Amino acid sequence: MSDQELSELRAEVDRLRALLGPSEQEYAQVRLDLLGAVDAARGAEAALGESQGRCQALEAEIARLQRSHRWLRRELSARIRGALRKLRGGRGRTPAAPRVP
Amino acid sequence: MTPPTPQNFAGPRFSVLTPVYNPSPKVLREMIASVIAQDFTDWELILIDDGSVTEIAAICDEAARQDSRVRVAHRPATGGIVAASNDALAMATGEFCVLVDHDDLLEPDALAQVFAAAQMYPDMDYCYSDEDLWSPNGHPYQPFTKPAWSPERLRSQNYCSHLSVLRRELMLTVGGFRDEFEGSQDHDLILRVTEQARRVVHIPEVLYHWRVGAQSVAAGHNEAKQYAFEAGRAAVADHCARIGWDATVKMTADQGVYRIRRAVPDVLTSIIIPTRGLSSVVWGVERVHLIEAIASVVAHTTRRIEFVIVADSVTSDVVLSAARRAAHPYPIRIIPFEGPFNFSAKVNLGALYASGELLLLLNDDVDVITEEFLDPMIPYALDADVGAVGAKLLFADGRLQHGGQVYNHNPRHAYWGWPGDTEGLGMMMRVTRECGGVTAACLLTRAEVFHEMGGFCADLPSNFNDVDFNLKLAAAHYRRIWTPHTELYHFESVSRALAAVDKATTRDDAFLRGRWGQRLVNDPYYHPHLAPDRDDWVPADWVTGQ
Repeated sequence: MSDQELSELRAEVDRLRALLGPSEQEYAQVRLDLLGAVDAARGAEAALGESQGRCQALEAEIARLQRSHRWLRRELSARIRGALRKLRGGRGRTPAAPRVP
Repeated sequence: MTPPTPQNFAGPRFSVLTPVYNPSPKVLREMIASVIAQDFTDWELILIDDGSVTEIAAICDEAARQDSRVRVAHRPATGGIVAASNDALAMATGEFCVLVDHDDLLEPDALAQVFAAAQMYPDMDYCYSDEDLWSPNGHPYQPFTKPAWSPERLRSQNYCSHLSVLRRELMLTVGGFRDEFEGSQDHDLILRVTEQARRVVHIPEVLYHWRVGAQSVAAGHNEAKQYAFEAGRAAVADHCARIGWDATVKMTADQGVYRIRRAVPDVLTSIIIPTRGLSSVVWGVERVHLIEAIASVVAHTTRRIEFVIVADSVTSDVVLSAARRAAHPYPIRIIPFEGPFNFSAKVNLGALYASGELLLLLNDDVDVITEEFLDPMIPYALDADVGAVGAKLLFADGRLQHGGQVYNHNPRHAYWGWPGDTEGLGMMMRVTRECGGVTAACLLTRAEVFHEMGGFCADLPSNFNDVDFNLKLAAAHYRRIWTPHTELYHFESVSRALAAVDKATTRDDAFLRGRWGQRLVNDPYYHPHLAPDRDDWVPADWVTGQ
């Protein structure tokens, strides 16, 4: 291979390297950075999705708790009524309501 | 209510079978009282005292003295629930046996409702109802609204559970309860009975109250019941062998839920992907959907496949060339599609060019997650009575996009937008099960079934074509199966999906309602008592405040 051919090939290598960027190592680094950025974006999106999904699930949970709350109120008032009936039966009249100070 | 007794049948209509082993005296009395209080009177209650303490045995005897329909036997020594249940079965004289635990409660109209079902369906051999959980203070806090008969789900979990009513003759024919499945003897029995049942009926009413004690399985204290779950796994494995499935059954992290892996026959699957060669930004980078979808399929299967790409004329040659390279080493056909956009027509065209026994309809904006993703789907798609199999699809942010379609006044997706790991009511999102339909974004069907249905309806060019296809399958009595064991990302944006719901008054919607009417309301795998136009199994009375 002549010196001229060698220098032409070196020039071609330089041209190709210029197309890629400063160096192959930096190109590989950029690729890694890109993959890292994709992972980060994916993770952030997943975290947001997790929160939004939990919010949606909580809506159903709230409905369940509201229903339990209604049951508890009914149960309490039924028990209070039952206790009052017993007291009435014992005294023959409704007990006086406690005074509110 | 006194029912007519068939002339050839002298016993009572129902035998309530209850093995008794040292419950609290109070709850036992309440259980007995709930049977005696039944509106329907033609029953017998068989209490098998399995070596309980004297006080409990006395309660049983006292109940028998007070009501001649209560019959009691005392086992000389504790033999376990299977032995006691078999003793009860041997004593039973009723047409149907009703399984009730010693600490639970029946609704007053429970037997009346079952009787009505038996009158309506004289060939009923097995019947189950909804149930709920009661806290120790009597608070009914969790109703289990069950689907219509779902044999696939029963293979993965005993979702039928309580209240279970079985024809006594059939129970005897299959051999009653079996010792080797102690702890899951009910699941084993239900599997064996339903294999031979002429008809299975679901009563969508809570007829049974499961009282949660401190150590109850219902309360989640399952450590002590590990043997029962192993027995359940063995029961399902035995069932698979009986019905001729080459399968392995394993327990999962969800107790009482079993994973069945069926052998996968060597068949050719044609993967039909309608495309326009579009790209969008996913996870921060530009993604050419068709190329990435093909690459993800190739990376996640070793099964025999071919790609059939139905490409609009706008699809660039560069994308199609890259698609060919991505499909290597699998064969790929590119079918050009002319004319205005019509998803149904594109799918139908692809099916004409497909040579596989199975067709997988696949959107181009997907990314496969599961290794060997076709394996959980192929065996079901090959079952003669299955019309379509679908997969679990997730949005890019990991939320649920598709967990089976729900036809609850509008077509919806089960638990749409919930976290990807949502277990669903009664673990429904963790099991392979029947559902109203599955999305065409990933739908596996047999080519012969696809053609029998006439393919997708070209009058539905963009919306609801998969709903229509699934309802055609339902009308032809093909089951639609959804499996959580195949997962894919589906990069449909959440906002676009919401916009699609907003367009429910379009021509496509009117066409669908005109064709299917009430089938869009009465989804057998949803429930009549759930709130309308939702997909999260919330009962109507929770949101109406009744």
